[in-house]
Amino acid sequence: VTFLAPWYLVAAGALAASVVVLHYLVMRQPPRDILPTVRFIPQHPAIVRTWNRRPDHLLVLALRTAALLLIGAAFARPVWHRHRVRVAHIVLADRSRAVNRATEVGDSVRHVETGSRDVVIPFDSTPSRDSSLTRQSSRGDISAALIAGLRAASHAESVAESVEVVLVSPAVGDEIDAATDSIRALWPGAIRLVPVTAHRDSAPTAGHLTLIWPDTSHPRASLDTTSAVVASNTVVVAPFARRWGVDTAQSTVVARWVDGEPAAIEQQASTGCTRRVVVPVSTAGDLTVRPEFIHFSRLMHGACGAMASRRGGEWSTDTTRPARVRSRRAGLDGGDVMAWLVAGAIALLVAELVVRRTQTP
Amino acid sequence: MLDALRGVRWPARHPVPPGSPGAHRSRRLGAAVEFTEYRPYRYGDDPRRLDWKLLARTDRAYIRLTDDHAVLPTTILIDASASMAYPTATLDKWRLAVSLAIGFAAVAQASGDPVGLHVMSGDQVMHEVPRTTRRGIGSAVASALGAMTPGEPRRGARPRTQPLTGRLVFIGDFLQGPDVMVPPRGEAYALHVVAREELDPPRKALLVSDPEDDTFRRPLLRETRSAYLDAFGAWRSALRMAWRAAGAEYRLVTTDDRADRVIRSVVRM
Repeated sequence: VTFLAPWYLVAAGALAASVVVLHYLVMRQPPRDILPTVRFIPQHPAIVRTWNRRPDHLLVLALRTAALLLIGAAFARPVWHRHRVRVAHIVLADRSRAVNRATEVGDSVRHVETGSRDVVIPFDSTPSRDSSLTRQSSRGDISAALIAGLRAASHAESVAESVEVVLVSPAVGDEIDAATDSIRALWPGAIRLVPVTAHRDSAPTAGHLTLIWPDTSHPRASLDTTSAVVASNTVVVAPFARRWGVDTAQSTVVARWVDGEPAAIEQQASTGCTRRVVVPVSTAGDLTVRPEFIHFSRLMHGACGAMASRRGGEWSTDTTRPARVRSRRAGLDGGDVMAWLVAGAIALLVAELVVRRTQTP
Repeated sequence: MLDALRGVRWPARHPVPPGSPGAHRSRRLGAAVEFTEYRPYRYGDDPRRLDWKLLARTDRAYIRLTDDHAVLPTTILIDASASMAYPTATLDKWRLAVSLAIGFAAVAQASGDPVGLHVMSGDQVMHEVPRTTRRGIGSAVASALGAMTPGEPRRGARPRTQPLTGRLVFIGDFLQGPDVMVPPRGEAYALHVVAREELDPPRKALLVSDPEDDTFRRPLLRETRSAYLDAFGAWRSALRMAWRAAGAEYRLVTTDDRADRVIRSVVRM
C-alpha cells in the first residue's frame, strides 16, 4: 500500500495516540492514607490527574482509535498495489495455413514465454481459446488476433508492470487486411514480430510477373469515387474514380481503397504471378510525379509475393513506440478506497456511540 | 537498651522539695552529716542541733546546718492517643515512646526516685503504674504498655485524681495535648515524638485522614506539601517555645533516633 498524502495518516496516528492518552488519564481522588499531622495541610481540592492502569470501556477506546485511523488513512489517499509481475507477454501464435511448421511456432512461443502471467493466443482465421498450436487449414487473420491480443493486454495491465505484445507469425499478405494497421495502431507500444517460416504456398515466389494495370475485366456497375489507396505502408491520397472491381477468389489482396475494398490483387501462377491493379491513373495533374505514387508504382511492379509478406522488422522498427507498454493502472482507484475507508470510519463512530450509551449507566 | 543505660543517673536540675531521703539535694537544710554552715539559735529550733562545743567555747548558741537530700518523685506520662499508632504498619512512634518510657523509668529508679506511669489519651490522664521505688519498674512499665494499643479505650485504669508533682516526663506527639504543664517546685520534660514520615511525607499524591477523626481529610499534593511542611515546622517551633517558656525541657525525638541516646542526652540537660 502506498499513501499519496501520508501526513494525514501521521496526524491521525498522533490524534489516536492522544485519544488513548486521554482515555488513560483520569481525574480522581488520590489513594487514601493516614497522617496524624493532617491538620497542617491547607484546604485544597482533592482531585488529581492520575494514570488509570486498568481503564474501563476499552471497546469504546478501540472503536474511537480505529475510526480516527481509518479517517486518516482515507485522507492519506492509499493506493493498493497488487502483486504484479514485471512483464507480461501477450503472444499471438499463428497456426494458420500460412505457417510452414507448427513446431517452429511452438519453439518460438516457448522462447518468448518467460512468466506465469504470459498469455498465448493461437489464431488462424479467428483467435482460439484452446492452446493447441496445430497447423490449421484456414487462412490467418492477424487483425482478429490483434483484437484478441489487445483485449488480453488490457487484462494483463492489472497483473504486470509492463505488457509486451508478440506476434509469432510469418505475417504473409493474406493474413493482413485493410483494418490490420488501424487495429495495430490502437496498441501504443511496438508489437514484436517473431517471424517463422511461411508455407511455400504463402511465401513470396520468384518468377515472372504479369502486371495488368488497369485491370478493366470487371467494370463496376456505377462509377464511384474515393480519396485514397493503400498498399503496404504507402498511402496515395487523390481523387480516384473507381470504374473497375477485382475478383479476390484465389488471390491475395495487395492494395486496398481507403474504405477497404480491394484495389489490387495478386494471383499465383505456375511460373510466377499475375497482379491486377484497378487504380486509374490520370495524366492530368501531378499524381504521377508525387513521391507516394511513385513508391506505390514501385510496389506494384515488385516481385511476386513481395507485397504479400511483411518482414519482421516492419512491426517493431517504429522507434517512437515503446517496446513494452507500462500499465496505466497503478492500483485500485484511490477514490474508491477513500470512500470505503470513510464509510468504515462512520460505521465505527456509530458503533462507538451505541456501545458508549450501552456501557455508560 | 537497659544495658546501655546501666549506671546512668538522673540528678534533679534544682533543689528538690523536702521529702523522703533521697539522692537529690533538698531545699531544706537538715541534720545530715555533711556540714554546711552555722546559724544563730532561734526560739523554736531543735536544741539537739545546737553545737555544744561552740557554745562552751564562745558562750554563743549556734545551730549546725547541713544539706538535706530527698527523693524526686518521677511521673512518666505517655501519650496513647490514636495519632501515636503511626506509621500504621510499624507503629514506630508508639514503639519509640514505649522505649523512652521504660528507659526513663529505669534511670529514675536507679537514682532512687519513686517512678509512676500515667497514660494520656485525649484529655484524660489515666493512672497506670503507681509510684514505687521497688526494683523492676522498667518491667512493670513495659508490661503495662505492652498490652496497650494506641487509640483504643483503656479499661480498668483509674483516672488521675491527685495533682501531678515532682518530675514529670511527657512523651508523645502533643497533637491532642496535654497543655504545657510544669508542676510547682517541680520540673518537666517534654519529649516530642515525631515520625520521619511526618517530617518528610511521601511525595506521591495522597488523600490523608486524621487517625483521631477519619472524617477530617486533606489532600497531600505537590501543591500542598510545602505549605504543610511550613505549618508543621511553625507549630513545632511554637510548641518548643511554649514548653521552654514554662520552664520545661523540650526535646524533639524522631523515629530514627535511638531511645538510649535520647535518654542520655535528656538526663544531662
